[in-house]
Amino acid sequence: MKIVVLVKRVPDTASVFKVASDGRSVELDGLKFVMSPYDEHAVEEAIRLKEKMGAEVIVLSAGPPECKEVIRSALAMGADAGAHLLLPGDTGYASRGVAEALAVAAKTLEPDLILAGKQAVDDDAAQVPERVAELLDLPHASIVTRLECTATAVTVDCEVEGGQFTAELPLPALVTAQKGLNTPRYPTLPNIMKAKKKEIRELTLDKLGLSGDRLAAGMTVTAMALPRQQRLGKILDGDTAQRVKELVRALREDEKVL
Amino acid sequence: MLLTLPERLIFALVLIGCIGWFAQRTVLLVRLIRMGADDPDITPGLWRTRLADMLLDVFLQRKVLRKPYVGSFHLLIVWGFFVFAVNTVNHFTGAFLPGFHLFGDTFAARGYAAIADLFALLIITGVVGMAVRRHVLRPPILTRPSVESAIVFTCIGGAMVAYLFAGSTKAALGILRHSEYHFACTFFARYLESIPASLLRPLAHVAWWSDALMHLALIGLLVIPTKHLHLVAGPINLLFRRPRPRGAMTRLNLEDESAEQFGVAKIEQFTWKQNLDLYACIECGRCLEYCPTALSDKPLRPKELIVDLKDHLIAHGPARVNGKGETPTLPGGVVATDVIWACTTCAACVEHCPMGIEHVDKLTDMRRHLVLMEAAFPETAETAFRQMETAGNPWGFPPGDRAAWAQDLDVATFAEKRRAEVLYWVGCNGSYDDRGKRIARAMVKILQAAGVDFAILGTEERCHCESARRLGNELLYQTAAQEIMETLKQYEFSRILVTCPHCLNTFINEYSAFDAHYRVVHHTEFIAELLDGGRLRVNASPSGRATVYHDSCYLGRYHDTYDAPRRVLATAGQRVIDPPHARERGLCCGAGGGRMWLEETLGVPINALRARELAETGAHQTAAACPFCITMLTDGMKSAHREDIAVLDIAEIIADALTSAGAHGPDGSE
Repeated sequence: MKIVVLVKRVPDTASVFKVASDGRSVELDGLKFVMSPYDEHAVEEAIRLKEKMGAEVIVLSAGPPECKEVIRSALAMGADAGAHLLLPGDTGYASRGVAEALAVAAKTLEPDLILAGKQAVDDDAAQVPERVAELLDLPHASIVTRLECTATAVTVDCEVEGGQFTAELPLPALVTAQKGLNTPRYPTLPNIMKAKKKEIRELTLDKLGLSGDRLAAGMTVTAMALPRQQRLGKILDGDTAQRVKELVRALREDEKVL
Repeated sequence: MLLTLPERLIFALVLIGCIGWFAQRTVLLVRLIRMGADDPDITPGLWRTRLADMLLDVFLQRKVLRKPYVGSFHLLIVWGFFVFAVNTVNHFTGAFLPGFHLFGDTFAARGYAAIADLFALLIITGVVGMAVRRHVLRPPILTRPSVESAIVFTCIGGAMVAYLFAGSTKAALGILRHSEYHFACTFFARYLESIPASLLRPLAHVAWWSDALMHLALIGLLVIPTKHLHLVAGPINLLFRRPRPRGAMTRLNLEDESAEQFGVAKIEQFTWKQNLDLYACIECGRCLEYCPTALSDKPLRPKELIVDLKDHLIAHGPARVNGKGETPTLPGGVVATDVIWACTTCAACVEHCPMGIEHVDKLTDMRRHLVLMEAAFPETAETAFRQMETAGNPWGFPPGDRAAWAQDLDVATFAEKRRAEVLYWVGCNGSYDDRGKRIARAMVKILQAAGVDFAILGTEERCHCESARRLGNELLYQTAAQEIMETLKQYEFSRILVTCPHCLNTFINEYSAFDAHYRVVHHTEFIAELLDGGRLRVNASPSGRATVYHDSCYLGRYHDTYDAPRRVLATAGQRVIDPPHARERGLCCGAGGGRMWLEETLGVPINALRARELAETGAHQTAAACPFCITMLTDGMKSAHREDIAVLDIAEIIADALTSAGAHGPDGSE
């Protein structure tokens, strides 16, 4: 059995973000990058399946050369090999273009199961895995909190608003991971050392017979702005009666929520 | 000559048998130690200092006498031991060479007769004194009034009684050499004079044999081994004391591709010195006296840890050295993980151990195994690890906000200035914690008032992950260390100023292992220096608020700084009170050793225990000099319902007391 996990390199969400001078992208200088947290759940699940039923786990990531650091983290968790699809340009493509490239790359790896995070925490688009599945004509399930796998099928619990449903998908299939699926492991030092020696296959658009121009942009970002941040916290003075009165007034007149 | 020929033959056989058995046991005990790993911290050289230190500790009983009652009794026994070494040789050799004396028939031999008698009495006094304490008074630190210790006391006391018995029977028979000097023996002989010679002679034989066998039993107690082994292992252990500073953890070589084990999972993975520590333990329990976990009913009790490891080594080591089996896993097996994670690394145990035992590194080495090899650690530690790694601070605040606290303070960064006299290392707490920011701002106020040329690293600063290292995460620590040393390389400064003793220990004691040497000063020492140099003027408020000072472990026991903070407080007009646990005996706040990031679910909270003690001094406020302590004690005061007692950093107290005259130039001018 071969499992391919799609992972994305994203800025750590604790970073302070700035809009770049072009006014439509994020200033990347000085940002710390990590593997998107939901992807960690996907990697963990793949490794657990490997430990349980034996499988080869290949981690696939598309983006700039630094993506290899994220692939290495997944290898340190216990994945067997990595594949890096080099995408030119800093910000890469919008979901549609990346999915088109990843679909071709994933196909060459001939997976029985593709796992990915339910969304990447940078653009929160939640599109790439499902697009890849559609392009490869694979059954897919999203936002999964439980997964069981046999040689021929995968059974999953999918989270939906206010509940969940259980589905069975014939393999090959694609599944996206939600937080509750598992607790990603902290890599051990021996595994980190082993990861340094594991193979990361280099893929390029050319090698895959794709040309950058042919990948569909799907959408173009025209402007980007930071959310308005105002700290309006206020501590009221006076005795309890006065403060309650003032609170009610403020909620009604200033905030207009009552 | 007392002994008959058959007696001499029997004694010869007994002696040969005993020597054979002693030798066999000794070889085993040595092999068990040699089974341990190499100790990279025991560097060659310094032997003269080591020997001198050891001899002073043995003969003057420097640490033992920190407890005067039991220490004095012990001193008598130690000196008596050396006195009686001569007697033992005389006694055993005399069985075959009648009249043998190491000192011959000299003045020394006669003097020795008196001294031996004197020490026989003193040793009995010492043994009775100690036995009464251990078995009758039973102070709480002596949790094991064991059969073993009763046997040891009986044998030592018994040997002395036998010596006096043998001497007095000989004196009564008129065959005791130098009898006029054996004042004790001749005194007791008077009571034997009424016994008829026909009975006295066999009695003298019995006395001789009991004397000889008691001495053999005492040697036997060493090699069995019982805790009596400390008598030999202790001085050796003191001789091989690690010369490195207490605060410098052993650097692991993480680049070693051939290494199969990091940290300690099995007894033989400890270094030979760490295992020698085990032999040296006499179970005196001084390690328990100021131990925050023992005092707060947690499963970690340093004495029990050492005794358990020793029992384990003796029980399972022999099979391993003889190639007949593996030793069981320590963490999670022989030593419960709750024990391993409980330690605050406050070093009260190490400080007070008279035998030079290091308890703390045994626990941190097992933590290293759990973290590096098994990734098995408390969940909250993982959160802290991940945030230290990605955000560069344990809480996961944005790295870009690191200097936000100083935005309105006119504080330069090294990125702007390139060089400054003082590099003020703010630390994570000063950068992000609301309470900590107030301390950082107070520090800046002081620096500006004294006209100090300083700058901060701003967003280039990051967590040095000292607490992660003490939780066992050496990889995270070393990665951070490399990054920080690279950053520091870019700038010119003559000293690093820190407001946190853990930062202090990292830069001063730990980075030298990475060939990075800095001059580092803790803010209490720096403020004392500014006050002494007249660069800083404070109003000594005449009211003299009563301030209780809490010693931080990493400033006190790790850095021997006890006076500077007290002096600074006194200069600011504070009436400084010491709590019962102060200075070397200071009680930890509970946050050291990475405990800051773990839940405290067992026993009573350490910070509440300490806060209560501080509050009971009747002080109006508490002063401390460590951000961890301040956080813990502030919470502790809350849980003790003593929020009326403010917990302040010394920088805050000084900043408040600065004279209104304001800023002084570097030369003291305004």
